[in-house]
Amino acid sequence: MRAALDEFRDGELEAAERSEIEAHLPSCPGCREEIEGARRAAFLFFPPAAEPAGFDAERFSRLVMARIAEEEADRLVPSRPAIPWRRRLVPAMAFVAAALALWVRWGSSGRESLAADILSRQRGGAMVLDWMEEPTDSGVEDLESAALAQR
Amino acid sequence: MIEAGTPGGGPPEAELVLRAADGDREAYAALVRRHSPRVYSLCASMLRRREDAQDAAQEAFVKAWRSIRHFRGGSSFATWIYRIAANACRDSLRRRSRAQAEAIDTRRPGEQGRSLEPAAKTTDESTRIEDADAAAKILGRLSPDHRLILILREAQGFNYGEIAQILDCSVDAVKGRLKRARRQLNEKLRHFSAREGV
Ligand SMILES: [Zn+2]
Repeated sequence: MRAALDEFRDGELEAAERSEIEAHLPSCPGCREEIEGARRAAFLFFPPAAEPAGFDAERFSRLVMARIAEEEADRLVPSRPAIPWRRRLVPAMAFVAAALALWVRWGSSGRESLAADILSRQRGGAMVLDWMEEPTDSGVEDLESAALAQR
Repeated sequence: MIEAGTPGGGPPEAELVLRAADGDREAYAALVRRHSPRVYSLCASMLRRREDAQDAAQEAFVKAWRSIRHFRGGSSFATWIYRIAANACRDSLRRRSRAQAEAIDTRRPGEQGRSLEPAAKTTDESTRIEDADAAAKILGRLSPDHRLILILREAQGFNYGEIAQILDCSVDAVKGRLKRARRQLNEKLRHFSAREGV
């Protein structure tokens, strides 16, 4: 019943169930209290979201577009990622090649742990790649402090 | 309500989305202007600090731009951007250290300058501040996921179907999570009243 009351308050009940509860409420102070209490708590904890005070959509959109422009400019001049990419990738490749060579020489007993080792190395490598795809954040702080100063 | 029409005129939503997906920044800027007040309001309810809310909302729109080419309108742009914003809020909360979280909890009554609580309509101002402060303390103890679903339902007024799209789950899952979140809120409320002698 309690769950139904919540769904009733949320306006999510089918017509039949809704009218069932509507018919029940006048004769049941307990359920009425339950609904009223939940309504009061919701209002206290989650006041209906009004247009946020002091929020300027125009300025906000300018900040977002400036960040986007900055990010895309950085992407056109990939100065930072170029070097670490090669530096990280070459040893990783070398390791995999060496491991494969060992694999051929080792008996089946050593293979499992070696496979696990390679997998973990590859996972480490993938994390490095993810990190490099992150956009550079330089300049974002400047935008932010400029935004704060405007206030 | 989530299917934003064309408030204040301007091109229809779908057209702006298509143009933005083609790389049209003007179109995207229009989408940002249209949706940012509610996205910011969601972030503000979740994070309760102006700067964090600004950051998370900006982060969400920058991220959305990066992948708008892949957005194929299976859901509305609004639901999609709310989902990205909700994730940005989760990331922000995760980054926020426990110490900082506790600093909010111990904020003294009346210290409301940085609080983002919209004013509750009570005639007695001091009661309002105390209520809002207690409410902030209790909400701070809810898990982020519970807080999020309660904000989406109670403050933002989304229906179950819309919440399901935002959280990328079924309507039944929404019902279950909402039930658990409400139960958790009731428990915190009871503990709080018992301890503070309210
Ligand atoms: Zn009853």
